[in-house]
Amino acid sequence: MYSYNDFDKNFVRQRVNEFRGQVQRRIDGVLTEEEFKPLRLQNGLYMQVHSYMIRIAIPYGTLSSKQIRQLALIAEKYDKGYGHFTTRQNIQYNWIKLSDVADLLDDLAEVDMHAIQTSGNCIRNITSDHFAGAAADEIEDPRPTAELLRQWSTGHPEYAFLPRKFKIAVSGSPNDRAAIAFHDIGICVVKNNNGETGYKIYIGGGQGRTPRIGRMLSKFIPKKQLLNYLDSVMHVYNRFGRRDNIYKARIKILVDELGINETRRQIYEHYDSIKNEVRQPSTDIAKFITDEFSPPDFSNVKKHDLEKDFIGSLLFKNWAETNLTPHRDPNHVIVSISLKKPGATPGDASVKQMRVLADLAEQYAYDELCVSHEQNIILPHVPKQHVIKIYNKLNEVDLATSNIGMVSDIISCPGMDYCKLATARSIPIAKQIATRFSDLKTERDIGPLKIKISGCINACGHHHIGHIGILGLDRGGVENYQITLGGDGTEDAHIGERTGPGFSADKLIEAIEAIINVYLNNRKNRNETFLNYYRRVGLSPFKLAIYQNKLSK
Amino acid sequence: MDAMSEWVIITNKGFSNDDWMSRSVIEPENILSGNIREEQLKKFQLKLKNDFQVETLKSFLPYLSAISIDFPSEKDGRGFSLARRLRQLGYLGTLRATGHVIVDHYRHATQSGFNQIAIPTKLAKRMPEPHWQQQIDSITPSYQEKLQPGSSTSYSSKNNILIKEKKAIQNLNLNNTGFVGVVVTKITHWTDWLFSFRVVRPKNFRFQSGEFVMIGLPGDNGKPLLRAYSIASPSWDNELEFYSIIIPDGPLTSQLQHISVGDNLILNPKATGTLILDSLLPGKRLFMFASGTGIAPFISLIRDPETYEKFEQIILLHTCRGIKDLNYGKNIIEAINKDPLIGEYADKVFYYPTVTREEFHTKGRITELLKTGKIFQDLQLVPINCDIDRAMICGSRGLNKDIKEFLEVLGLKEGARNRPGEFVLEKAFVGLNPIGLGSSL
Repeated sequence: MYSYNDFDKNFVRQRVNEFRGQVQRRIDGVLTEEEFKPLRLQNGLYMQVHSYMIRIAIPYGTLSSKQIRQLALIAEKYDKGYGHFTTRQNIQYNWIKLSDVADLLDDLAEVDMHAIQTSGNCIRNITSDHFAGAAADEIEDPRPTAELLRQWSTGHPEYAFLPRKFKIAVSGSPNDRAAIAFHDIGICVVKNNNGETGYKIYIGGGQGRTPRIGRMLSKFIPKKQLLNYLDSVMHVYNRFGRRDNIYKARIKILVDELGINETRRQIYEHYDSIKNEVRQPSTDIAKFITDEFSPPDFSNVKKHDLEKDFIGSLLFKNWAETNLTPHRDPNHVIVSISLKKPGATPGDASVKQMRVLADLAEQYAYDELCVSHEQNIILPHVPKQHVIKIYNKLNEVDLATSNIGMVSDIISCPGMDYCKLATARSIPIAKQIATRFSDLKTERDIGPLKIKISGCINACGHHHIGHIGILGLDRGGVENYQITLGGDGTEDAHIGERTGPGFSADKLIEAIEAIINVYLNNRKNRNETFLNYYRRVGLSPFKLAIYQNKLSK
Repeated sequence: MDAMSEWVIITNKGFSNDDWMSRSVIEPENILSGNIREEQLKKFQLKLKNDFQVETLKSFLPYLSAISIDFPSEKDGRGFSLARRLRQLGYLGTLRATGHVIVDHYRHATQSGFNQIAIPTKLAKRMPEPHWQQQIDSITPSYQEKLQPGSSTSYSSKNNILIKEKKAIQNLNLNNTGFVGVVVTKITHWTDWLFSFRVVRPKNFRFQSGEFVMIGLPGDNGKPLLRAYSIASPSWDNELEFYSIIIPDGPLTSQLQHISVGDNLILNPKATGTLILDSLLPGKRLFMFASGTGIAPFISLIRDPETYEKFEQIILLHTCRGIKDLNYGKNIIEAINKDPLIGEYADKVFYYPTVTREEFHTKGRITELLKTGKIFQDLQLVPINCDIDRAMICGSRGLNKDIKEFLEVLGLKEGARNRPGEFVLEKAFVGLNPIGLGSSL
């Protein structure tokens, strides 16, 4: 894991002081509200329905036990005893007082964390694969690249006042778990014909009200040119991205308007003019960062037969089937811990739960955790012999839900209960769906199925890439939920198709049930997943089922 | 309208009045139409909107000295990209951010390439000078600077590779070698491949301005890896200054670029060289011919009052590949008039920079510019005459040879330390051309 050096520590301290000064200047009237707002946002502070919300950066989702313990302490001191892990691998606190913010930031700085650039029209926290460093299918660990980009984008003088926010994701594996096709820039580590490692670059993907799959910008960029290349993309975007209309300001619209070929031409014109002149970063900084992510020594772990632990514990076996993923080392597994207990708020973790997670990481898992963009917590490296101990401990704090990738593992934005922008509630919908399908037998029968719910058109709940997506809207003061089918955020990227008119909150659950029944009754066999079935048959049988019964109004 | 009261200018020294009042404003169209002669451009201030395609101005940038970019709102960051682009394209003059720029933009503005901010007086009343001063004082190195190759910002975590190297230097045993350790006090990176550094001057170390010395780092085998460097500081200075090129694969400079303040270097405290005042017979004018980092010994001599006691005029001709490569010398020459020791002689110094690979107001090789007489016309000086003129040469092999031949044709005779003459020359140790010298540095 990357550990902060004096440079990083000083930088964070400086920015905390700077923000203290900015708050003071706002209070003194030196800054107007319009001037203060972008500065407040660049420090992660939002004004929400009930209070301020602060979003804390967790670069590429990676946390140490010390850090998550501090996050628990912050939830205890300044919030109502819990935190909300987000789809961008960050954590949010929804009940913050403005007067506590500076102290909260000081507490964060103690464990090398901050809220810088988690909002505002700048390059946001860099996200990555939550199995980074552990997955067997990886070309290389994407986190050194993500960390390099964190440093490059942090406080970048040129890109702090962009037309709109800017999100970058990095994957180190051809199996995309970071949804790189749905970011402003998606980066995938690849090897060229000469065996050299470099990057494939996608541009202009995103969700929101204009969902777009990222378009291929370059098939291969040499490693040492990555920053020059991204600089060129950002430069073109900052100068030519639209600023007249907030809904047309993302880079995806610039790419739409120019076309990918003209976009590429403009970017290369800049890139060609700087690539031989600016040499960055120096090789030893790159090496230094890479060394920081050296894997733990796995060789001391003994062989262990997990199957033996299943005997006499059906619940553990069930959990292991959904929540474990093979590790690149045969004596280890990747453990996914679900924050989606049916009936609970997706992504929320209590102080007590966070402390248990810290203990488990420290005792059994090389002191490393990762927040996934699906709002779960990952222990990337767990020796097989410790898995059952971890399971038992998780069970004590309601964290042993065995539903990873299943119908009740729902992604949801906070919705109208918390968010000022939301037009409908989303968390209660998630809870209802999860409760309806959560009995083990039904859920296992349905198999892998991703449901994602957004409470407004901004799509923070990623409904466009849900196998079943739900979008809550306001229709004349009444909540109305549209359904999309067939979305996919992986390397086989698809945007979900809308079934038709939306449903009221009480009819929605029946519609979802009807959709699931169409699949269960017509699939070839149990190996045909919901998504595969949908790809085969398309929208019509589902439409027939949900609209014939006049579920919609 | 009283324009005086309209704008307040902010630089790294705080508030000041607008010193562009005497400059007429021009728009890019005036330049692109070709109605203004290139030599005239430096008298104007050019105003740019923040959506202007600055690339179209590339060939005019060397002639311009004052450009301002409009900042229409606190949310619009296009101007920062334009500034960075203008600097990339080689603009060296003053760059001003004009409009709705607030205290919190100061960092972004200066780090993008601006050296002035102009805000409406009304805004300056709301954000008075102390607020700006606080920003100016609290500027620290950015991540982007740190990521540049040769960054002087070091890591300091315990598993840091750079710190390990530093420890190795400190553990080096210099007993009985005659070498001494010297501590680095300052590093400045002028371009990605040129930097200067200063070290504490060892006690009892004496040298004459213009001499060179051996300095370096411990090599892989533990033995000192030293190379000859001209001392760029004058003989009276408490510190020693050096000016170096970075050669990516060079055994010394590839390491030396990573030194940081507080590091120890190894110095052989025996200075020598021919570029000293004692090697020249008395004269009236002293011509200094330099290419690339060969300017270093002249930077030493030009800061030594003794030079002005022996000569009435000093003419420094410096040639580089690119405009940015001139920055080190240019900065020092421009600061002469503020120097308490030699400021009074500033009007005796004639500085003539040329570049060979980019558009510039004096483009071309020194020898050509000498032969055509353009240098003398531009500086309004009489051509070289062996009765009154003396010369020193320090540059690439090609430059040394060409100038030597040129001077000998005019009747000047080469001298040495023990046999003063009318001109002396020395090879530039850290040369202009990294390809030619790469293997040895």
